[in-house]
Amino acid sequence: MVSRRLFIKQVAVGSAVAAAKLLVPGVMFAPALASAEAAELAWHKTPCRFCGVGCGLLVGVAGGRAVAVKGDPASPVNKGLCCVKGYHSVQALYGKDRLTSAQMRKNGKLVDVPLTEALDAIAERMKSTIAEHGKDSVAMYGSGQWTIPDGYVASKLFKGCIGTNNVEANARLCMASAVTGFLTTFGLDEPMGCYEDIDHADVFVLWGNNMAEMHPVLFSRLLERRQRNPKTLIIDLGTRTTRTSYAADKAILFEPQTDLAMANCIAYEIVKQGRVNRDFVKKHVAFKKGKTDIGYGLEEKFAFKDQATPANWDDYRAFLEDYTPEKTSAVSGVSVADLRYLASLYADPNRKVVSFWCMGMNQHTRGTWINNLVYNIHLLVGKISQPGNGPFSLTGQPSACGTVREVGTLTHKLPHGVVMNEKHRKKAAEIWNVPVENISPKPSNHTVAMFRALDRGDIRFMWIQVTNPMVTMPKLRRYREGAKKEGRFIVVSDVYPTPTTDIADVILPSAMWIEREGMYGNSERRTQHFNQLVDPPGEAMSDTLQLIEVARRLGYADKFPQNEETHIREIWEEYTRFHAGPKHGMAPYELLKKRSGVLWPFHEGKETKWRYHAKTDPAASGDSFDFYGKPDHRAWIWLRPYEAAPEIPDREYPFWLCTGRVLEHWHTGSMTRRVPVLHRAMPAAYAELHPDDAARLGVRNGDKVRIVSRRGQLELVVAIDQRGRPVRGHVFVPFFDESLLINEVTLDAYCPISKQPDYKKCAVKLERV
Amino acid sequence: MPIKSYLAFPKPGRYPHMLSALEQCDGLELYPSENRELAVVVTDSATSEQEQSLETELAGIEDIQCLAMVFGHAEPTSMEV
Repeated sequence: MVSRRLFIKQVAVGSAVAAAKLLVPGVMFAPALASAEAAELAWHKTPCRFCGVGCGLLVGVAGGRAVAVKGDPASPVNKGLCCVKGYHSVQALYGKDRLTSAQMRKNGKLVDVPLTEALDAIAERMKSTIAEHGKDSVAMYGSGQWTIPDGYVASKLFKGCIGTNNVEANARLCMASAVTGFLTTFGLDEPMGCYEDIDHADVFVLWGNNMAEMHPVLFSRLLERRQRNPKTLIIDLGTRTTRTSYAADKAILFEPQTDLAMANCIAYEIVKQGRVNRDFVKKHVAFKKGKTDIGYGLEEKFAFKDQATPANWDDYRAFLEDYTPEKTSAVSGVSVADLRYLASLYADPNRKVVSFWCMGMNQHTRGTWINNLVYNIHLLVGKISQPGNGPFSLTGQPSACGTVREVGTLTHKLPHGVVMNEKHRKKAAEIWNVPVENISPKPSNHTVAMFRALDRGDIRFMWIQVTNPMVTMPKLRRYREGAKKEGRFIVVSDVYPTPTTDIADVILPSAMWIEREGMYGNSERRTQHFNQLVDPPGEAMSDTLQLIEVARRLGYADKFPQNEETHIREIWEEYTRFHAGPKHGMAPYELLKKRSGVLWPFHEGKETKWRYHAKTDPAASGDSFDFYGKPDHRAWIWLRPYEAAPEIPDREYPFWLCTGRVLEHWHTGSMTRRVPVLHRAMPAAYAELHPDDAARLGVRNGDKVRIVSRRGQLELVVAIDQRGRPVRGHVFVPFFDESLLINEVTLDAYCPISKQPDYKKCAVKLERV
Repeated sequence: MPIKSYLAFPKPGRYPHMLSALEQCDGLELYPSENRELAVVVTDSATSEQEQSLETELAGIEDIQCLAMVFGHAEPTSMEV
């Protein structure tokens, strides 16, 4: 009889052998390992809690606790692999300071109260605020970490029942530009391809995307593709050298914001070299111009509406004349040879090309435009909607797609369509069983505008779930002080104390991840269900049930009649009525419970791996491409120029500041900083400098610098040639550390179309401390 | 203490060097593939210090192109923060 420890070790070996066989078909190991592969425990499937890759995990439970994790070999996402955050994910359930009871602020102090008292107080405060200040004085701020049912009931309660469009989610901060990019080019959101593209592509162009740290399992799949297919190339385009750069075949550095010029330059070269897929362009593409010189959202009540006007091929060619390699090289710092090389890769008819991006392109004051421009390149050469060919926007959060984009938890959205469209409002009213007049036809506040409204006092009540805006909002001090003003009432649902719970009037303890049932939707349109595997601690309750409890107290019990045992299934079945049909059909509940995720559109029993092509997409008509999201069934090439960032380094503030994430920590670190091995590996934020800048400032590794902007300042330890290397005149700081809030320094400028802030570019000065 | 398993892929042309470097690490078991250039690595550490030291040692092996974690197990008592 083997010991328990030996048995677990056999499982470890067996899992690795199984993963190897999936990644490298035909691989063989010594026969002794075969028995290890056969060893089995009772494991439960779930998507990972953390990033938008959506790896399938198997979680082992013993004695009512989650004790082990391995990658799910049945998951087409990760094929048994797992990253360091995923492996340690279950430890994030068991931090010593988990919130286990509700708290209310009494005489200025947060004190424990029974959960029912807190829920009663929230409902009463919502009623009185609406009575005194109107329905648009209350707001919901959620998350791309909400499960699909969480977001759905939040949207139904606020938009359908209360009648305010004050519903936003932190995904506005991470992928709104991807949404507006998709909508303006294709008319429908989310990627046309899927992760299987990786297994077919010859070239991967990473646009400002440090995949090695932010999407490590997908990056492992890129490396594995290169190992199996030696002609594969990985090209890293960025503004700093990262772990991705070191692993890439070629790394190209460019000046911030000039990706706009580079993308147009690649298009210029493709046109000039006669490499346009003319047949594709003639049949499937239309040309459009939009407004230019569109601002940056810095004014208090900034408003902007783009307008598409028709253009043609000649207009486009003339527009591209401003982006010759020589002109583009001068603005971007990229050599003419490298710009031509990039164009040659996209243009080569014998290479399949996938472009990946994430925050670099999305957190950008011209985020919508740069998304459009990368689509332009793929459309010019017809490399799209086929295995191994396509533009692929990655998301950062586990359900930014599933909950925010598909359920529509943004001010202008509904589960199907937008609030501005009468047909869409009628459909929502019918499914929600509310009068159509309840749903306001006007979007109200996007995220930055919502926090500005809270500061001004236009919003008086805000309920924040699964997110930490008192770490993540740009120009943070204004929004923190605004939230703390007299007459504001803040409810925060979370699993641990954070800077956001610090400003709360009521804290609700939430059930986390596998402590409740739910679904996430990942970057490749894959919906993944997970069962409740362990009990939540104390009085912790799922965000879905918290919302339902408050909705009932507000008098909407008939709209939320779900049974506690079956409520997730009931919600799923109601929600999927919005998406029925070949364009966005969702898998039935029973199938989701069985499989390691199902791609949508799911139609007549089949997943759709590549949209917009008749061979693979049941919604496409004809015999080839059909971009049915647009009324003309064409994808739109946009004439979008390069426009500079709103704040660029000058004599007083001579450095660019870029912020971002690190491998070990999930966003603001509220979960991963409570996992000892992750915290030890990356205990504190730092300021990453180029060695020449450090020498000029007279600082070495471990010394401190003060980063000062027009909005605030922060002291940080210097890191030189550790995780990455910025170019001269740049500084990089990660945002995971709640004790070192880099967003005190950042600027709240945003893309006027997507309303997504730019966390990658503002001007700062550095002082030796 | 945790047990972990990884797949180790070498840099081009460095497979024998990677295996040689891994063989020199204490506290791990190595299972090279019989027909491809990759290996299964299983770590089983007695203390957290030993585990941390081993992780540092693995991270320092330059012949490894990619070390992908596949499995992990921790006893409940070791997971309290």
